[in-house]
Amino acid sequence: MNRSLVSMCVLAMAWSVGAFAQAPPSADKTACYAFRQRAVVELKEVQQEIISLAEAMPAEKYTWRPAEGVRSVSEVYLHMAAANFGLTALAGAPPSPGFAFQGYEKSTTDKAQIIDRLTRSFEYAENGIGNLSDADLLKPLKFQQFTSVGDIVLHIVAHAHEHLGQSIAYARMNGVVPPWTAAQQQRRGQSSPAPRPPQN
Amino acid sequence: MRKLSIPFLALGLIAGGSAARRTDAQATPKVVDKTPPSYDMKPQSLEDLEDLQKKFTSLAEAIPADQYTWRPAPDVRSVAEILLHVAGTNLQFASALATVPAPFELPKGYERSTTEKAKIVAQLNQSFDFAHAAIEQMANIDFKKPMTQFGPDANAGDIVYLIVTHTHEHLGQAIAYARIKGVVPPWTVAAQAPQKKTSQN
Repeated sequence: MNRSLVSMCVLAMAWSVGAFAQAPPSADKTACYAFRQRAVVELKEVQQEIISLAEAMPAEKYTWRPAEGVRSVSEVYLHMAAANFGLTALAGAPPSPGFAFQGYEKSTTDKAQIIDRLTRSFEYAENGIGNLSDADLLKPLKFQQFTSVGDIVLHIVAHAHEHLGQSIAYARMNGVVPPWTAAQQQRRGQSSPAPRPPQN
Repeated sequence: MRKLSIPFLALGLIAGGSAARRTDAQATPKVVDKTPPSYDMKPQSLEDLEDLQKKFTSLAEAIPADQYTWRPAPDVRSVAEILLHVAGTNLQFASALATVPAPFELPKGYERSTTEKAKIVAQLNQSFDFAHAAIEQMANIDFKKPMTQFGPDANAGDIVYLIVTHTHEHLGQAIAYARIKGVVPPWTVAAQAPQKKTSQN
């Protein structure tokens, strides 16, 4: 292992103590991997970031889109919410009252309403996945390329991450620095004036 | 981007930095489940990575070479830097699984080591092939294998999770970069061929 990789691993350890210490141990010691628990932890992180980003985006930018035929800021947020509601119900959670997938993405451009729906959708997905049993994950299911409830759970997490990345890019294109990056830059600026490599 | 990025400080691959954000994560609801060994995430992770590789490399091919240095704002990663960031992360985390040898070593400053399109696409492909091979060598039980270098409760399954979610996050970012430069993702072009669809990524 070269010097760079050694340094990297040292930093990885320093970073990750906080990261993985929070993953709750599986209640079931016979299970191979705490898959559901990790999914919930991941979703909570995405929730925290996307909500803070949605708050940071000015309301007048909610209808901005990078090109015709591409989702706008509000449509991306509502698409995430719709996926959380729809896919978690598909995985076996009791359907969220009042949610209808059809037309959901374009149902509003109101910032406060969208943040509220996004928040509720993440809470719904986290509770829904948290309440599944390990046995539930094995239940067969046919949706697109997915064949089990476990596949859908992984997709819910991956889908949320993908649109978080898209939303960060949208924010940057509109001059909005993600709040966690701004906070990090402020901390670094206070401690060191050294130039920094690019961020997301 | 996020939680994976802090380790990359040593390589100059700084990222979104959510280490601090992790600390606010709430406790997961306790579930008492005595069911015997359950869902094996390996097949779906591999399938997902295959799909991500196809999308990432086809998108990288579709973006013109002269746009590889474009970035949405100063201090934000360029197209080339995102692609190399993904390749570097795949390599670093799949290496940690220690199942197969890495195809190449990560030099210092890897993210900015080149802006040459052909080279970047090739390295991106290699990194996905490597991550796929590394996970393929794992048995279900290996996912529980402790990886304490990443934290007291970390295990190999967490690393697989991170490889998948990190790549998804940057795919979303890369798609947005492509769109603002007028590039339609090739899979969207294919999907739209028979009929006009509603708004896409």
